[in-house]
Amino acid sequence: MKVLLSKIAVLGLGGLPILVLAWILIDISYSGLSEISWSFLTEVPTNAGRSGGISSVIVSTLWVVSIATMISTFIGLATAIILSELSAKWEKFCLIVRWSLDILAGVPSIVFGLFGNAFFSQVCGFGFSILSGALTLTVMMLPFFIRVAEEGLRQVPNVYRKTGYALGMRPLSVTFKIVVPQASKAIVIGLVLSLARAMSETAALLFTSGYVERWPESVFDSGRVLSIHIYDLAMNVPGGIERANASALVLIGLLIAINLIIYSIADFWQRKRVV
Amino acid sequence: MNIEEENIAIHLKDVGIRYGTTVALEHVNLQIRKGRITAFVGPSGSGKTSLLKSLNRLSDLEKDCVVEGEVIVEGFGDLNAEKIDLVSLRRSVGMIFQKPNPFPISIRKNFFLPLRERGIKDKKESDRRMEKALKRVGLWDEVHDRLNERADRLSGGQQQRLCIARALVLEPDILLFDEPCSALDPMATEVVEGLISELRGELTVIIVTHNLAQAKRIADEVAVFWCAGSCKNIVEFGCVSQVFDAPQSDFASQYLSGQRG
Repeated sequence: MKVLLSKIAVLGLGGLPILVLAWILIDISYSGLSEISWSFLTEVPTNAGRSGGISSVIVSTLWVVSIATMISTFIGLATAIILSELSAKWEKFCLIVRWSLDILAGVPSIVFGLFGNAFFSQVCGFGFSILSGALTLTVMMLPFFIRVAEEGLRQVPNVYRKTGYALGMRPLSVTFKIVVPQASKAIVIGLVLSLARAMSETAALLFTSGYVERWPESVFDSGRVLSIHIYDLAMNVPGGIERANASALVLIGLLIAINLIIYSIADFWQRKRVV
Repeated sequence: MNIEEENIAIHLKDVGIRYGTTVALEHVNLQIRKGRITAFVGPSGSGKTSLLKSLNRLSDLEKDCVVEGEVIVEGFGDLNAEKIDLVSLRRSVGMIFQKPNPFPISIRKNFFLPLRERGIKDKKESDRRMEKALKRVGLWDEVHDRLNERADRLSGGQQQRLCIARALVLEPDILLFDEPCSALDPMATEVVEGLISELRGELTVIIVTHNLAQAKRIADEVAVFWCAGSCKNIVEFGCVSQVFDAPQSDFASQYLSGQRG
């Protein structure tokens, strides 16, 4: 009886995320799948998104997310390394940084949107643009990514660092050739999770990257991302719900594709590093 | 024990080590001979490993660790007084740890990383040096056909020999062993002990061990560490036969005979 109960508990709790995912997929596929076609993926939206496609929206999304990911990876990794490798020397400083990051991680995305609008769009003069949106997303992604990456770096046994030093390796080599590769799994997971959050972000981009549906000409041009397109179709466009669902399916598909690409690159690198 | 200057590899003058306010060791005066094997024995917490780590400044990595006095290493001078090039110091004074710790990468890369750092980037040259070091520790025949496999999948004894080979590939003058056999079975211990003995004459070896029989088997000289109350230092130092057969201090005689410690 006890075994049966524990099995039910394990299956029930473990299966819950699968059920939720399945439900969401079925729900949006139900009305969205029929809308997806080659022209939907290759044409620009017309009639407020009711007709045409979402090619410009996909491009804007990829622009915003790839810029945000690139900047976050460099700044985030560097900060995580400082926090994990120098915390013995700069104890108080690192404590304050960590504390600030934890607060930032909990700030609602709309606040980041307002900040991004005030700072990147207005003070820096980038206006409503892909760059403003990407930078705002960077600020939003960083706290989570840094903390996950830092935790991964801290998990690397200290003995590897000591061994590296004992073999006459320079501090930077110990960090980049031994510690960081060891923590690569956690770093990649942190990156993928924060990227997923960035891809589905609406509020922070509403005030920064704008919602012009045409094809963006440069990073200084305004561009509508998928999440905003979905939001707009579902909330402001009568008869747009099918198209919103279809766009949501594309967003999920993109997310899965990007995750697979990142994981396979990481996997390839990991195997190459070992030999 | 008075030794001629040119035969001294390490000279310690009134060395003290503390962690914050906790004293780990004090008033250590010691001359370690070149090309000999010196064993550090003594109860846990008597400062053996702390002293060992101060000899290549790995003590810098320990939190709040302060080394006082003069730690004079041949070719580098006083490690505490002058600005020391830590990278070349550690290449010259290698260290083998208690637990075998190959990097979780291929056997070959375990050698390439430190060699590359030393400026040897040519793969053929690295391979040649790796082969020489692996042959020296008797591991070549066991691993030559799986150099691209992960080093941490070898057995414990093989891993420790690999670590010794990896330290030897940098051609050090001094090699420090911190209880190198404590995580190994008796068979692997015998092999590693044999290896250490073979280094006699070529390198200066210092080995920390809890195993008195091991110290007796492989060392030329022994330093007995002791902690009595707040006083922690070396109570006896001399050649193996003298220290084991006719110890001068009560602490050493009781510890070595198994009555204390």
